[in-house]
Amino acid sequence: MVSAELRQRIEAHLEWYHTIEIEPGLVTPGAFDYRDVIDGLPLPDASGLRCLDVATYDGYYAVELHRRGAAEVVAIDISDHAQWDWPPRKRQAGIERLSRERAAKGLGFELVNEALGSPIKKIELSVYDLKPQVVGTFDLVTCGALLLHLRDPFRALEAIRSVTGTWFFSNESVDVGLSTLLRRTPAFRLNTNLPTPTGQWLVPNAAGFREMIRAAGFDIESDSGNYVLPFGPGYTYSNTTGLRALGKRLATSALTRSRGRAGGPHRALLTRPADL
Amino acid sequence: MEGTATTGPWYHTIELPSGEVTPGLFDHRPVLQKYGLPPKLEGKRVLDVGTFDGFFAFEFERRGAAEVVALDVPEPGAMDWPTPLRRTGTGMARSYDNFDVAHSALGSRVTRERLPVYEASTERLGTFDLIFVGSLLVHLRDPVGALMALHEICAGELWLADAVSRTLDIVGRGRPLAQMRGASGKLEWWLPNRAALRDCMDAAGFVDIHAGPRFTVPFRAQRGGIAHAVLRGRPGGPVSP
Repeated sequence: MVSAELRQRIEAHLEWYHTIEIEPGLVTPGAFDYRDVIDGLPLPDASGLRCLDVATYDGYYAVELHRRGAAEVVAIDISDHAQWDWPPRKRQAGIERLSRERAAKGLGFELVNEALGSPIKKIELSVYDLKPQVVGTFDLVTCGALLLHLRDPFRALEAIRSVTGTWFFSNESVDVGLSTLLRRTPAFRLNTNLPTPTGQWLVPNAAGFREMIRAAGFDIESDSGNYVLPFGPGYTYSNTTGLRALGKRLATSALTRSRGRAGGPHRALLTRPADL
Repeated sequence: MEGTATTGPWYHTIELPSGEVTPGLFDHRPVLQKYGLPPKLEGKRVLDVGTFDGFFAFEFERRGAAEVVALDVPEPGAMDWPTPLRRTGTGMARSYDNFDVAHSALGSRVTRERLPVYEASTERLGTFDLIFVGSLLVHLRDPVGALMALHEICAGELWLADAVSRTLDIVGRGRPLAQMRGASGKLEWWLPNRAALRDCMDAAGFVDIHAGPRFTVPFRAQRGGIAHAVLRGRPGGPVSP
């Protein structure tokens, strides 16, 4: 049972990215809520495994791996908003916007981990700096919605591959319209020039996501297909009301069978490092 | 082709003083005007990035540049190999020795620098009035990273001429899209449409970007040639938030 004092700190926390049920009646109001979709994703049985969650943010995957019986869970993330991959001319504005609108990096994770009795080992490390010499290797590596925020996603995937023993689970944003328009052609939308700087670089279509994973030296073992990751109450990154948002939601719904629920289109792949 | 036959296949079609014409994979001669490059480069310090056999570097010298530096990777292993090809792929790489053959045949004073574009810096290369990047980005894993490095050494204008996707120009209707070809085995990573190429320059910090129309560069290995577009821009400073 979480103490009243900690519960208060959790409730007062400025921004939650992940919806995490800490205990019955105590749920973080995140921007993204995996609870209704996680059982449909190809996340392998973690029991007894040494696991790594890359770019953990509030720690949803790390907590999930711990609860699924992992022998050890390590989580990494960058230590502050200045470490994001910013386009140089948008860097200053981006850092200032995130410092204003979002919590200090890692604070949400610390609250969650403390509430659970600190079962997760957190290391402040960029994905680019993952090396077996630094963190060892892992039976299972998870990474959620990170690659779209990187200027060089392949360098990140190479670093992930260097510490992956058996499984790499990758869950990413996909563009459903582009997936339908170009079914077989791997294609990406460049998002560096959006009206509000979002810290995004590249969003793939389904074929693009699969091809990127293969080009980075992984074999795909299982594929969720495009699905909608529901928004939680903390979602403020784009307008979710109005005619335009409704149209987008209906189109996404038609292409992903999400039954009209508001959320972001994603896809999850379970992969293994290929024998090269 | 006595002097040129022993050096392996040519990438560029270059006219040598002897009247010989190197049998290049690409022939830029008929489309050179479409690049719109300045006809006179007197007094300019010019960098040709990804020079290969040196066609553009020698052309800039011919147009009177005060100094031309031709940049390329030190060896094929330094190119951006995708993980699955790294072990086997480096064997298929082409030789870079033809540059020296053409350089000597032309009596050229172009300086050659062997350095990955990502490592370009003022300490290593100084700054340039004109930087030309020709058909290179398509082969780079991190094109924006490369343009960021060139932004640092650009004191005038950067000219970017690269392969673009006709299909994605049409499908994208102005949206920046790029085809990913990383696992194709041809050492091609990204084939952008014109809007995406523009946004790569923008993301790297360039301003006043002008994107020219699509045109076709003749290419021996592909009927119909390869669609290209030429963009140019100037380095911009940081934006106040």
